Amino acid sequence: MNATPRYTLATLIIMVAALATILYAATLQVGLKTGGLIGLVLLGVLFHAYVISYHVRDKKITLALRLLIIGIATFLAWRYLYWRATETLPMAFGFLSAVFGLALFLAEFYGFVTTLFGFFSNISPLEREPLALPADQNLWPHVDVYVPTYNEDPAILYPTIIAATQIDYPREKLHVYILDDGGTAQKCNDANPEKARQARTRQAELQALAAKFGAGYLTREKNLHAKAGNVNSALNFTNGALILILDCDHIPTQDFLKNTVGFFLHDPKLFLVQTPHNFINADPLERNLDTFQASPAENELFYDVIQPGLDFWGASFFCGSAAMLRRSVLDEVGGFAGQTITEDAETTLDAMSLGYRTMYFNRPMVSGLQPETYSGFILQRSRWGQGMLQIFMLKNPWLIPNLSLVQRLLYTNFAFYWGFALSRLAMLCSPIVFLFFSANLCDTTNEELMVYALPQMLAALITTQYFYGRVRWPFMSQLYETAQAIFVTWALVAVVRKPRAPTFKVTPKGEDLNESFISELAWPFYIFLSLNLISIAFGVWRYIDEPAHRGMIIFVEFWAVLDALFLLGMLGVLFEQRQPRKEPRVAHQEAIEMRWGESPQQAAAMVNASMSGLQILLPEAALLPPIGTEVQVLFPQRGVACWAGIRWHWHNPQGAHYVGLSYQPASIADERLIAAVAFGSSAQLLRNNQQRHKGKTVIGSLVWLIYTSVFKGGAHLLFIVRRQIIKNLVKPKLGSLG
Amino acid sequence: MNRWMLLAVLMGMANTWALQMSAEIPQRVTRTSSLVPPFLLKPLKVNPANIESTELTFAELFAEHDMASLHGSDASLSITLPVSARRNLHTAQLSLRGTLSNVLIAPSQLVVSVNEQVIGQLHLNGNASKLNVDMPVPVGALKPGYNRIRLQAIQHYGEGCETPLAPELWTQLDLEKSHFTLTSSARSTPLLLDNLNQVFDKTTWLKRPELHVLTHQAPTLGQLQAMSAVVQGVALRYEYVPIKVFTERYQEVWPAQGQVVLLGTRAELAPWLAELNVPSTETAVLAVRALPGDATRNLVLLAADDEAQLLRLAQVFALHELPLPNLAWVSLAKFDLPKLANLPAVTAVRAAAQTVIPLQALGYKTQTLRGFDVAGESMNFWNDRWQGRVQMRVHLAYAAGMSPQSAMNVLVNNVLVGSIPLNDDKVGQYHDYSVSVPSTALNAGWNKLELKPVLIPLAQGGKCSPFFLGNLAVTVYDDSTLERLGGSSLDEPDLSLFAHTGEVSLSLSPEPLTLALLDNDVDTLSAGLTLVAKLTQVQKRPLWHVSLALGAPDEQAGAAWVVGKKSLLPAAAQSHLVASTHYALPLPVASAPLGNSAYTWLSPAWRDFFELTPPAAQHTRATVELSADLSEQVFAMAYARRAGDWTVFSAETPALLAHGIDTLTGFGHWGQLNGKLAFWHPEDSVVHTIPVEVTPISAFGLRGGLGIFASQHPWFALFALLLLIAVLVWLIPRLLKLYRVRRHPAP
Repeated sequence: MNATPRYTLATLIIMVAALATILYAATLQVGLKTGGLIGLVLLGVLFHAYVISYHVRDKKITLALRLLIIGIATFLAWRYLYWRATETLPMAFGFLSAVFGLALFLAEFYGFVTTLFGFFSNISPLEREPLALPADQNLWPHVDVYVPTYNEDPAILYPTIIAATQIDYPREKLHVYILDDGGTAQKCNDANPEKARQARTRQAELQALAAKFGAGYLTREKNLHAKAGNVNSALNFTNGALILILDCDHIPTQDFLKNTVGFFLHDPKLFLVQTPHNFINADPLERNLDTFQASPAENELFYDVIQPGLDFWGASFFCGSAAMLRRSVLDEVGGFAGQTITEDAETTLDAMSLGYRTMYFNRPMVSGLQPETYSGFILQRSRWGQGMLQIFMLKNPWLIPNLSLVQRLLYTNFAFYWGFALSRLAMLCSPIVFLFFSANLCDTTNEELMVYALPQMLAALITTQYFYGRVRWPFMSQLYETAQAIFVTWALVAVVRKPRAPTFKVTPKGEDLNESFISELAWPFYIFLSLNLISIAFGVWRYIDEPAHRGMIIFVEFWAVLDALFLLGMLGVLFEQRQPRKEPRVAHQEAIEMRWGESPQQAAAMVNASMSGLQILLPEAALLPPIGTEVQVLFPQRGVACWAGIRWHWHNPQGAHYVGLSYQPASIADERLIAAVAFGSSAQLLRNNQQRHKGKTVIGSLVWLIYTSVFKGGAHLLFIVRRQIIKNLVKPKLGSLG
Repeated sequence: MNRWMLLAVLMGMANTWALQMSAEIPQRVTRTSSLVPPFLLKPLKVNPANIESTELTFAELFAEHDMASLHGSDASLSITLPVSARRNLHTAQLSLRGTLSNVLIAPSQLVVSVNEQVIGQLHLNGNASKLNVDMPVPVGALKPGYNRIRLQAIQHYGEGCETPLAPELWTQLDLEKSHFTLTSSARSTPLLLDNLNQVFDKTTWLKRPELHVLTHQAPTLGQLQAMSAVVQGVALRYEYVPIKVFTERYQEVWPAQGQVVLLGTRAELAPWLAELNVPSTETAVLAVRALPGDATRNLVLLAADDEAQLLRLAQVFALHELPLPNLAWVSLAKFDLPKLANLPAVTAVRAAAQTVIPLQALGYKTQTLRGFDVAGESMNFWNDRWQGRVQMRVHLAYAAGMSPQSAMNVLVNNVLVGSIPLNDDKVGQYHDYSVSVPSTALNAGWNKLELKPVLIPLAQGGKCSPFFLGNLAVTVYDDSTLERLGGSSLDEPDLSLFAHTGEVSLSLSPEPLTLALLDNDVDTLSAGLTLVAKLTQVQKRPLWHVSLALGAPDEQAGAAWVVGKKSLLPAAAQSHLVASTHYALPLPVASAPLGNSAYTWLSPAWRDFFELTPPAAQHTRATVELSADLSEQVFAMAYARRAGDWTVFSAETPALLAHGIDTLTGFGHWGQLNGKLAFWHPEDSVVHTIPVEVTPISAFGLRGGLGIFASQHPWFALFALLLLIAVLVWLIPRLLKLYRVRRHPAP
């Protein structure tokens, strides 16, 4: 397309005029019937566009449908918001109504702004293909692989180091380093002898690990500036032109470098290639609500949908791990930034301000671990939220030079996004305030709600399903928001009060859960749930007692019941289920063969694998080796084999045989093989993720929510009751029996 | 009785008379400047030819024409009967017509009281079933002014225990047929300036009292200004009674009826001033005396030697609440009006202009509504917003001991929009109870607000159960407010606003306005001054901001009331009116039914929702040319102009115009004024109007107009919206492509 500046300007002017006209039209006051008709028809068009989009492959039509959906949803949302702001604020109904009514409106306004940001971000996601490296390997750059660690169990680093050292790249150009902040001189000489001893022991283990697999080991004198300081210190000892940063639990696939280095060779202004964080264990919600592997991972929404959108606008940012960075740019910006506790995003901002570009390559190439417990999860999220807010407060993107308008907007959104915590709190409080205290939160009639609110709510549901249905079940977002609302709000308030106060706290991973317990962070949810249930009961009484207000009461009761489900679901999350320590398993489909004793080779299909073993599927008529048998497992596609022991059998009703084996590695080569099998293939990781992208309907998700909340939340409460019975009745009696 | 006793009685009577006269003579001398002792005045003999019989129906006294019903065991109805101080009442008779419930038994009665004095008790006999009673009303019980007539029905249907609210306990009064018949004769009033309220008596039984304003010559503009002020003074004294004004030349023959005001120079009015012993040194004199030849009517004189003084004198006269002395004449020494800018807008205008209006501004006064089945209060408020809404904050207090079912219902345009619970059985108050009135309950223009209490006693009676109605009361304070929110404002003048406020534009300080009389024809002047009288009564204060002009105003003239015959109107204004033989103007045209055969598969409710059923009317702009004689129509027009809005009253001839204005300013017509254009025949009871929605964009501005247009053409609006979205869908990929090429060039 030969686009002259005039053409561009003219197009832009027409677009702005059309947009302004549409937004103006949304503010026109029309009769209720007309408003209802417009809402209904637009909703119909929106729904049809959504349905058609599933059957369309042509990119132009896909984009047109997306824009149509965005246009209609924006119109309905703006129309609703304008009506809320100008017609419904309950300023005349007393102090309580005014305060909470305004809070509710601000929460809705927040939702509107984040929706717009979401539409903007996702308007044209970029899907990249890896760029081939030159045939002459001499032109390939040296790559340093940094694996920072602090206090994690060395067993977590084990597979990471193995996998990092066997990334498919010329050996002489691949340099893997463990950056041990737990083995600094400061730690090893801690005033507490026990701590010093533990530090030295750990240090020795990591040094041995590095030596075993050919990695380097780096540490420093003092623990200054947490992870940023650790990595900056390592820069003094390495020379690679590119740096791959991996968290200690992020096991890389073998094709990581081949998929990413090419981008740097083609674009000298490229600073960063970020790739998705892919997790192979369940977060506390997935684990305690039994949704792991059934539902998409929570971070898929960010990595699979939002980051490609940000990439289009040149606003992808470093997420701390699974990313390649150009060393020279780091040198230019003075290393990793340390003003905030999200040094990753902060560093990206610094690089962008110097005119460097960032990129996102949407292929999962690491297998990492999520925090297992709710408290670990909250620690992580609080740090992210605080860090993003710190960036906005201490390094205002609107004041940093050389950023494009879009970059400034989107960086603002990164901080603004964390307002969801306050928004969710307002949403949780509103039904309580209305039902229990009879505060009027929205001065309107049932008819107006039907005309303005209902189309907007349904449009929001449809657009959410359209953009995120593949990677997020309906109502899951609300559950995650509820999980974070209280404590993240607290963390954000702390930042606002003292922007420089928050310190970097390492996210705990690989925690051992030997028995089930109730999280110590459960108490606020008891309060909210109690208030919520009381308000629901009150609402029933008001329904009987106030016929004039039944419409509104029913609407808010439904809202309160939904909140109750979220809160009960949270109780399910806070009931930490027992999880004996085990290696995380990754689904893996590969043809293998098994041989033992004199038996002929038995063909089998691998089901999943970990660092400790694998599960295979034998055909119906297969011979089963007894439990305890040592078998040789052959990998025909790789041309290698290793030994393993049979641990268990299981036959499913259809007659298939599942067998669990535990490896018996005899050499480093065996360990490398094990790591490569479990974590080495990005194609396998991609398939695994796509398996979870089945999506769920709104109704289906609601049914799931009801079922899960009632049973999981009920189990939590039952656990408490049982514990109290045991504590107060059984134990004293046992004690009295001597 | 022996002669001594008789002598004593006679002497006593004489002494009494003497004492009375000794008191009265000095007063008479002082007041009338007359030396004729009262005992020499001939006693008034009533000439039977001067006795008039007047019939006043309940419908006229109530200003309602429905039936009135008295329900329950104890119900009452109050009527106000005005009796003028200018009438000698000879006889009064109350005629009740109606229907009784046929279950009423002997103890049932109707108690009639006048000013709290019981004057009669009627048995209500269910067997008769018709109420047809004529009862005399003692004349002595009626006093000049407003008399409260109360009809209390005490009704029974059984000998033993009864249900007090039994539905069969009722008596219905026919308001049209029930009436008072009063015979009276005219009486002269004391000829004193402090009795001007009796000269122009609002308690008159006349439907259209006449006022004749006379000058010796054709009035100059200055004299017209003074005449206007005089008319305002008279109108305010008549308060709400519409008056007819006639302007005439004094030709030594006095008008046959009505009160007379004569303006002129001292020289012209010298004969009458001399009779009143007004010294020649007094330059500006206001005086009152009996009309020569008719002591029962009055002549008010305003004499000044220059027009400026005459105007000031007339303005003093217009101050109807100014306490004038109890003298026959007074001269004006000094009079200064405040600057126009310092005057606040009239209450009605403020009520229409301000966003937050206290009920006080709507004419409501704090009052306590008592009793079971109390009628409630209603008032009108102006809503100039398309799709606006109203927030009402009610300040009320209610009595203890009422049932929790008691409530104060708030209705707007007969739609219940809120119900304030009066459900605390201890005394309760709401200082700021909010009631939201949605846009769907509101009309653009005048809206009726009703506060209807439903007061239910705790002891609700029942057979042989007590039914204590004692403490049912609720007070609504006049500082309760209405707040108008949102919507698109009406930008064009509206005749209904004019009818209720006397202004076409809403400004919170009065802006100068011209009353332009297109010629000095007597009928034109009469029409203009009748209009002035009416508008003064609407605004409830003198029209300080109005100045008179003779002749057509020019195009640059500001806001004006223009009165005169059509041919003298400026061309631009004329073009908005109809010609006598044809008219071309935008009219509401009922659209032909579209038919809904295409949607029979939809239920009627859905068809109705989507407006697929034929609408009752669509405001479509149409130009109609008819050949018809419209020369008998009188027109009122709200004419929007950049320099200032005009309200135009016009007809083919001044005589027709005067007749039309007479009709318009009477009861029943004035309130029909609405929209941009109204026209009527003087003999008709209906005023035809063209509403502002015909031209929505100019009436409500761009936003409001577009909103109305979209509401009237929803499918077109939807299509336009989708078209705009389609434009975006077509344009944005082009921009994205440009961005992609620039930002992400192919490797």
